[in-house]
Amino acid sequence: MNISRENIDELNAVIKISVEKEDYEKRVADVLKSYQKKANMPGFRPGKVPAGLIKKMYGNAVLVDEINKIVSENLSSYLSENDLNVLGEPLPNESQEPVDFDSQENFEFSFDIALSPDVEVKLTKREKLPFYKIEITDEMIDGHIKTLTSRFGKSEVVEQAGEESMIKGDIVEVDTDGNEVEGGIRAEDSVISTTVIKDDSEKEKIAGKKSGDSVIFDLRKAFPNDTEISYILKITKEQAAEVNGIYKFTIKEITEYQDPELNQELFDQLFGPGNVTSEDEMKVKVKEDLEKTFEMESEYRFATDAREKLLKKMDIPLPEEFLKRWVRVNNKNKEKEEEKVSEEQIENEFPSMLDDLRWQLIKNYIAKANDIKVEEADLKEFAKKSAKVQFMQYGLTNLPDEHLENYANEMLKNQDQARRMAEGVINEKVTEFIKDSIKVEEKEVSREEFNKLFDK
Amino acid sequence: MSIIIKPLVTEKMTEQGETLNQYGFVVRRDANKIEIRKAVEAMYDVQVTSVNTMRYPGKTKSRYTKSGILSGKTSAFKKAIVKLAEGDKIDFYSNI
Repeated sequence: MNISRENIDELNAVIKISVEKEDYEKRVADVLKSYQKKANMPGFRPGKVPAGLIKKMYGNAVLVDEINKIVSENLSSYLSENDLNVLGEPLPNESQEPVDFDSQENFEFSFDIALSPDVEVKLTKREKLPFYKIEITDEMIDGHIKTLTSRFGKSEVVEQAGEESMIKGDIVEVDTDGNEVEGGIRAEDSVISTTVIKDDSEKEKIAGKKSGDSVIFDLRKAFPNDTEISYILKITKEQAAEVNGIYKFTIKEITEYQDPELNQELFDQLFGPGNVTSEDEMKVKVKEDLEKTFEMESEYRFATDAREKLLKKMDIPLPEEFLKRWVRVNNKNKEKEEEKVSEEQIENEFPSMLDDLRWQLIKNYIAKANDIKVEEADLKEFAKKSAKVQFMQYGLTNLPDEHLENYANEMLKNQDQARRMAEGVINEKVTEFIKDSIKVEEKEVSREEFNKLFDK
Repeated sequence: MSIIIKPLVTEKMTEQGETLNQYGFVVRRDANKIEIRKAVEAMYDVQVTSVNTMRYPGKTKSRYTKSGILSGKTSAFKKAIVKLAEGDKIDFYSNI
């Protein structure tokens, strides 16, 4: 067994591993022996198959397998022993001669590796980065309150039809004199919403009418859409396409949607009992909520800015040639056909991939240099937070802590997810660290301006 | 007729081949150890270190059937156990 390394340049190196007979002989024999004990072959009782036969059948496969294992074991131990920071994974050298396992006894393998460049990040207070804060306007608060309360609104019967009324009544087809057409279409208890009437002159006819009144109007003019007509007249869409002419609508009931009254009951429903007692308090509370959500966005923006700035400042060289090859090989080895991406896609996404890698290196450096670690408690906290965000999307804002904790634990059980969480924690901590070590300029911007920042 | 009649392919001999490097053959009844050594060395291109031989007598075999008693006789034979020099091997399964 012999391992040697040749540095081609700063970022690329070749590792040569030679495997001799002594290295693999015993392991191969052991594996074959265990095969012999288990092999089931016609003509022999189990465990009584001659060794020579087993060797002939499985010998080469086992040999390849064992050599593969030996090489990868040694390669990884070599990498860790020599403290080499490798980007991607070692790839077989392209000039590798084909190996003949039948006749060769000693094997030599060479691998290309890419070394990660030395990264050193120095953060001083001289660096400046803006931290955008979104200005919260009264409109935003009002809008938010409206969406919050709208769920608790009620429909109420009103006297007069207005702009946003739902009108229930009977509708019949009539002639120009206002008499019912014999054999015409009629529907009882159909509902018309004044907001969907397209034509203004038709809308005016209904406005201000009271229950019991009747209106004659041109149905086609008021509702150009077949779907609406079919709904109002309770006929199929195909039939509705042929509907024309004037109709008499007799109003039975007018209802209108009413915003809910801002009272203690509503506050309790929205914010939990006793937390909010007046409208002003509700506004303050809503503002806090908004601040919280906006702060998350601001943080995100800051993290993106920091990433961009550091990437620009550092300009880390990477072994692009090798990485491209690595990406291609990985792509080719994917088991599922649909996971594979086209050559073009690789070409397009490659630059951003390099940037991601650079950022990863910077992050790792910062984390290592400043002793940033992921603790169990951090992970839990993060899982809880993301669980909360997830539930918030479904509109569940007041979940008990216990419930969240259970859910978070459940999430952390999934290894994949736990790893992602750990990454998230590191991200957060690194961003926090960057924020502490450079000069942060707070800027207040409006929502629109903030959104524009992402368009660039 | 050649000295070696057939190899002994049994579980017992397989085991011995693997552990003791000994291989068994049925040989001509009048062959002596020297002849056997030479025959094996020539046929398998190996080096023989020792030869043990044993003679087996033929036995009468009889069976009781519906149509009376069937009787017969197995033939006598000579068995040779050959030990090979270290590193040499005979593979009786090379042609499967």
